[in-house]
Amino acid sequence: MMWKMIGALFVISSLGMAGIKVASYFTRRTAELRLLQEALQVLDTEIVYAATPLPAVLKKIGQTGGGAIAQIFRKAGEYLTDSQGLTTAEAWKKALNETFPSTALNQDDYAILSAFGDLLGGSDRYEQHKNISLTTLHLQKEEEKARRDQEKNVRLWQYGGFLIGISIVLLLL
Amino acid sequence: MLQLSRGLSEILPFLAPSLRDILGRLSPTVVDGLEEVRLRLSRPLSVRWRQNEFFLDMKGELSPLISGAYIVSREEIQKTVQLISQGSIYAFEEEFRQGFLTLPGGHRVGFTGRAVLEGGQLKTLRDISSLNFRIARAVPGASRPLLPYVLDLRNLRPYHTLIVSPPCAGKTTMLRDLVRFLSYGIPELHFPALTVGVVDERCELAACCDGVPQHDLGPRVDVLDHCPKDVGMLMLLRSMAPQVIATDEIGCAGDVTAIWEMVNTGVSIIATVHASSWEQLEERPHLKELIKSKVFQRYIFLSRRKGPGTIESVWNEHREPLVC
Repeated sequence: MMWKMIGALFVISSLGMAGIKVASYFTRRTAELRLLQEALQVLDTEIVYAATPLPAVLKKIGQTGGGAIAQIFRKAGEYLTDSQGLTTAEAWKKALNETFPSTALNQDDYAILSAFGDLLGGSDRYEQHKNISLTTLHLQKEEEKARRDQEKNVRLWQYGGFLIGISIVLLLL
Repeated sequence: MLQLSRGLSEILPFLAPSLRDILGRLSPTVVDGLEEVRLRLSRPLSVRWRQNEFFLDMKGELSPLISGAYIVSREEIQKTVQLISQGSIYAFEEEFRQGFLTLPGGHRVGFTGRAVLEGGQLKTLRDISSLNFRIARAVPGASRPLLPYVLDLRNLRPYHTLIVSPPCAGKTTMLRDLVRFLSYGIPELHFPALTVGVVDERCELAACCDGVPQHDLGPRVDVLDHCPKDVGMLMLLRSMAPQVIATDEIGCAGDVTAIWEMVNTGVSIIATVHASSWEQLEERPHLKELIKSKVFQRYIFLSRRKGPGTIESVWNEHREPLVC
């Protein structure tokens, strides 16, 4: 009986935790999309008003937070100055590819960020502002979608995991 | 006469990696006398060495012949442009409009490409197709032979001086060295240190990078970077109380007007101008009046006859030769 109890608790808690993890993915994606827009806002100000070169801006944004999003900017800034001779697009792509697996972003978000990097730094301030504005707009739309997904799915997964666990335990008993 | 300082090693990080490999194979003799590195799209990689242009092959060997020369690709040009601009074209809009930018170490990169016009004015350059890395040279002591002629030892100020030379004959190097002498003071001539204001419109004289002069101009120098000369000279006069104002390549009407305003303020002016002879100098429409009115008290003519910085002659305001 004792072992059955332990087994049942294990099944319920495992599935419950898995559910919470899936739920947190939806919350994290929304938060990361918001952080990206905030970072782009800083980038836009530094480019349009201060004309600060990218390595300095990217590193500055990278230092403002410790999460995966800040890491993309920090790494891109480092790759631009480490004498490997990478172009901005290459440095951005490399940083994005390395950091992407540790984010909650999906392939649509990746495509937006990848296209953003292709034009980053390669034109005058007006063109850069347009690139940043367009990317921000795309990210806003993704954030709205992510928020809807979050509302739909977070509760479901948070409780769903435990409920599935309990159902399995009841069936087995 | 002029020597190479630091040089190639400072410009290599700004070149595409494949070009770094080739230039890294240059022999020490070539590196010592290297003046320029030229990249031209789909054309041979070349260098200017001891006043002559040579092509480079894959092994970094110099040749006057095109056959076997390394051809510069579009990707190499693009990478190099990215590297010199830190991947931030927008941060160097003014430099791209002017056609050059300054690297750490004072080295200068000139470029050409497709001009973008707006309202008939050059807005910027796009699709860069040629780059010329000019290796900066600081030659401490280059102007020492000129000091007895340029310094007014009685009034303890330099004369209003015009350094005249054709391009690439060392006039900027000479002016830079004069500024350095004045800013440090010259104890052996009992000449005190003076406050010098430098208007560095072309970012060549002090070659500031992030506000720090890349050449040693001494401790008493205030640099107005990227500022038009006419505006800059008057600004310095009002704001920094200089005893000497130095500027490079005067010639337009605005420069001359500003000099007219300054000659009677007690500030000494040291400037350079493009010309090879008195005849050419007097043909410059705006300078003619300055010469006629004896504004400049010393004229120093330079040439490349015995290498850049060869002093050909020194004249006073009455056009009497002091050195010939």
